[in-house]
Amino acid sequence: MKNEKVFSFILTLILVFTMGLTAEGQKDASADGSVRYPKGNFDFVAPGGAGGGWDLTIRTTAKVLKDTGLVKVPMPVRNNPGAGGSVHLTSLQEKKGSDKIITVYSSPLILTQLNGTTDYGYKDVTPLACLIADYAVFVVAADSPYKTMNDLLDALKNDIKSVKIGGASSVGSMDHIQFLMMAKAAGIENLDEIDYISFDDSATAQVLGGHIDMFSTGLSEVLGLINSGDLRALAQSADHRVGTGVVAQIPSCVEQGIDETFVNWRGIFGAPDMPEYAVEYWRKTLAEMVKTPEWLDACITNGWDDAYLDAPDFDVFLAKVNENYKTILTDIGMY
Amino acid sequence: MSLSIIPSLLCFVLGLVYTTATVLLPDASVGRAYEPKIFPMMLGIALIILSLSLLLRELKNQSAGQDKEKVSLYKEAGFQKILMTCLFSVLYTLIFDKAGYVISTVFFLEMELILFNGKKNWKVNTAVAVLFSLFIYIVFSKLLGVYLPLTPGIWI
Amino acid sequence: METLSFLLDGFMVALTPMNLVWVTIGGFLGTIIGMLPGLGPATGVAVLLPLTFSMGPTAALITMGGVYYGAMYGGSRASILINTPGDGAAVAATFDGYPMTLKGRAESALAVSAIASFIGGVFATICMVAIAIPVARFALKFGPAEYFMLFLFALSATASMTEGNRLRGFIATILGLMIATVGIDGQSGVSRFTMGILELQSGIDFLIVIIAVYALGEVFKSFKNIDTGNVNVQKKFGKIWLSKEEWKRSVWPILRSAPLGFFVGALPGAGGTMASLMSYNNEKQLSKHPEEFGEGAIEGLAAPESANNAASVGAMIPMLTLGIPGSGTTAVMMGALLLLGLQPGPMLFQQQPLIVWGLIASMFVGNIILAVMNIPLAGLLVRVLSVPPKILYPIVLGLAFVGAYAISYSVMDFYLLVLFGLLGYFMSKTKFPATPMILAVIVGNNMEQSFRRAYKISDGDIGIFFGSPICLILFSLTVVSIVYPLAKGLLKKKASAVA
Repeated sequence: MKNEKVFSFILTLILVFTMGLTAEGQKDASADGSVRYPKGNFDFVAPGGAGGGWDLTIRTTAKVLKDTGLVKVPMPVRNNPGAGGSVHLTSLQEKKGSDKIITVYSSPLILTQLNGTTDYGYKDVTPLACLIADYAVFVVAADSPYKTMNDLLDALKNDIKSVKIGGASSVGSMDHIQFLMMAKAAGIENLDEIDYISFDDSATAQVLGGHIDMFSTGLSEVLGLINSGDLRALAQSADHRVGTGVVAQIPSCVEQGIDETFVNWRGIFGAPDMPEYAVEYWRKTLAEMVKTPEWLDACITNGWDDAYLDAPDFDVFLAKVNENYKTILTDIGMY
Repeated sequence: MSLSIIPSLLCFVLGLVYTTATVLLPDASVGRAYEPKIFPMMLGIALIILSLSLLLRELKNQSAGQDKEKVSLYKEAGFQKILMTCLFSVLYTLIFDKAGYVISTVFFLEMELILFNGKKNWKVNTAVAVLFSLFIYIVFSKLLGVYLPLTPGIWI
Repeated sequence: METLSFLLDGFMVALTPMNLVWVTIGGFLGTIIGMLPGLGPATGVAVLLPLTFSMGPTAALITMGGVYYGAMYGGSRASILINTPGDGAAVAATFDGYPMTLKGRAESALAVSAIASFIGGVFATICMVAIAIPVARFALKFGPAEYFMLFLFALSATASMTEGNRLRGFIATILGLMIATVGIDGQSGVSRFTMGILELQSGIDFLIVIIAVYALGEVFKSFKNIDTGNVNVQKKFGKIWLSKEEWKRSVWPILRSAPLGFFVGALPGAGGTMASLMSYNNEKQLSKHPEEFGEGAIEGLAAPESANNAASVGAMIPMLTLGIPGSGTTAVMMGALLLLGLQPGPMLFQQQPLIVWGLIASMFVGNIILAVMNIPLAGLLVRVLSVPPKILYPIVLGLAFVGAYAISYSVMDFYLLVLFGLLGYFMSKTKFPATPMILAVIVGNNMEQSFRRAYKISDGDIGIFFGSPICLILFSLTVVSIVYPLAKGLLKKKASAVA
């Protein structure tokens, strides 16, 4: 048919044309020597959905950088959610050497690789700085029989199925692991038999409604309900008291004789093989940002603890955390 | 074969394949090992039963002479164009990231407009394809901050 | 009385000229964003988030609220005119809205959609003022078992509604549920049916399936008419309004659907899609002429439109009273509250009454502005139908693809789009209904996860699904929804045999 010939002709033309463009584009990207940086828009990415912890962190960072004038070029934020951040992690591997992409990750960056969700891990991104820490908190409904962390752990020791633990992340990810670390430190051995129920985002309502016995979550997620007294916090996972008011009255696990801490760090990362000039720029900029009053204010409202680490220290820290998580996941047979 | 028998057969086969795939799923390492399989297993078996009963009913209808409608899909008007659209979509997907949104979309729409509107109206087709692509690009990338891939080397 | 004085204060806030401007801008942008495929209220609010930084918290919340219900108004426009729903909540508007357009009654369809949305929104806001706290407390009674039974009821009611062939309806439901099982299983971390493709690990986005089945399916179907030259273009356009008869038929469905939508919206995780589909089923059951449903019955459009706007108001309840986001959109709004330095939760009403009541008052104001704005806007939009289909359909295709891209930023979804487009086409050729499949894809993952959660909580005891009055009520409704149409069919057969 004549039609098809015309089609294939036009098609070939366009394909050839686009190939040409692509090749040229790649040449352009490898600009050398003294670069004017930053140039054009940055590409800020939250690897999770809008409204989540990662989203909040990177949007706050962008807002502070803009308000303080530390970064003058636009920093639009987009979301690239999926598979606990792994979808974005994979797409980053195709953007090797980019100086535009700035993203945020936390514990799941390490956990998703260990539990087999993805082949990539913390070594496949460029750490720029660790910014903040949030801590685990274990909360029960106000009318729950459990008054302390040890009440709950003792009940588990008597009957491993008697306490139903809920969390917002999937099995083998953060909310699950942070509780298992405490349970292990308290001497519980059959960790894989503890019932952990994953709720995508509705676990707060479930613990309030009494459908689960305990909710393992991040402190900043339930601040409002702890303050109002609807939820009672059994323990938090820092090595010190955190926050102010009611939150400062929450005892740490260590105080209750459970010798373990859990820190959910959140840090800023660049694409793999980020150029040296870009890494330098961001290390300097972020170091300045964490000292600004705007940033400190944001930390207070969100209940974040300052945990600033410069890139080299952050690297060491990540390697250490990686080993810790590996032990727990091995215990429950997920690594 | 009657039009109504093929889909029930297909569903039956799908039910078998899905159920087999469910059996082959890895065990859960925490909690009860069989848990991830419960729900898919119920679905697989339900599909097998439902598609079998549909098959039986269609066969009964057919022998009763109620359903004589015979259609071969590929002979139906427009079916070749559906296949062409699928082909163009695949090409579109392949060049989307590399060529950028505007160029690849102009190409895709141009092809589709030839299918729908004919080659003779190429002036209208080109105008629609170019204007649509630019309009969407500006609305999404520039106004809404929903970033579409850029054509390398060009500002857009 | 105290509530009323708070509300009055709220109106003082909402009616300041600046806030009126914001809610209008928000509503307008929301309407536009809602019309674009793939961009629903959640994306709309997220996209405008940075703009709200420079406003105060009240103005920011009011603007975002405007975007939210604006997108709910706008979402159904594309469903009615080109059979391309922008998000889940707008799916039900295609059932009777698009057939109305095909019959040359697009003006009435657009009018009833705006009016129903308005009444639904205002009614739900009144409910919110009156009973927000008790509703929020009641919604907490919904545990995993209750959610599972709710989803089961919605699915069985939709499937057994299928005209003529219930068996096909149930098969379509099962297919949808199967699609929803693809991805990582949250309860065990096992990845299922992903065939090693990373993008599939987080599951198949139901929006992709919706866009594919409706928009691409429609384009595929249109080739036949284009080839045979059997196409008509609407040239004359009437006023966007309702006749007396149409209004009479719509008014009760609208009023019945508003409370239903409000309550379903207030359940965290159920949302506008469930609300609109349940109200559609409900009206079809109650209707004296159910055979008109799906062929352009105006009640079939009025009911879901009222329900989905009521649901968008209801979804604010768990956010404002408990600090729990009830939907994707309220999750984004909650993130915005945090960015603005507010702590959502039970204390918000006490600590920041002006902000909360200002937002509630702005819901009244916003709904009025949107209704007034949408009638003339619909008059413009309906002109889309004067574009010849040979040009319109390629544009629908272009919109479908860009919508799919906006959902996940991944071209992987384009393949899914084509695959499900073909599936939708073949299903309509072989008389399999698409609606039960779509609903199953939307609720499937939630339904399975609810089942598994309940199963874990009860240590494998199935009794938990019949363990509470709510479960039992929902179970009886499920049984009725299956048995009632069967019995009605049998009675009819008997009657005709006797005669």
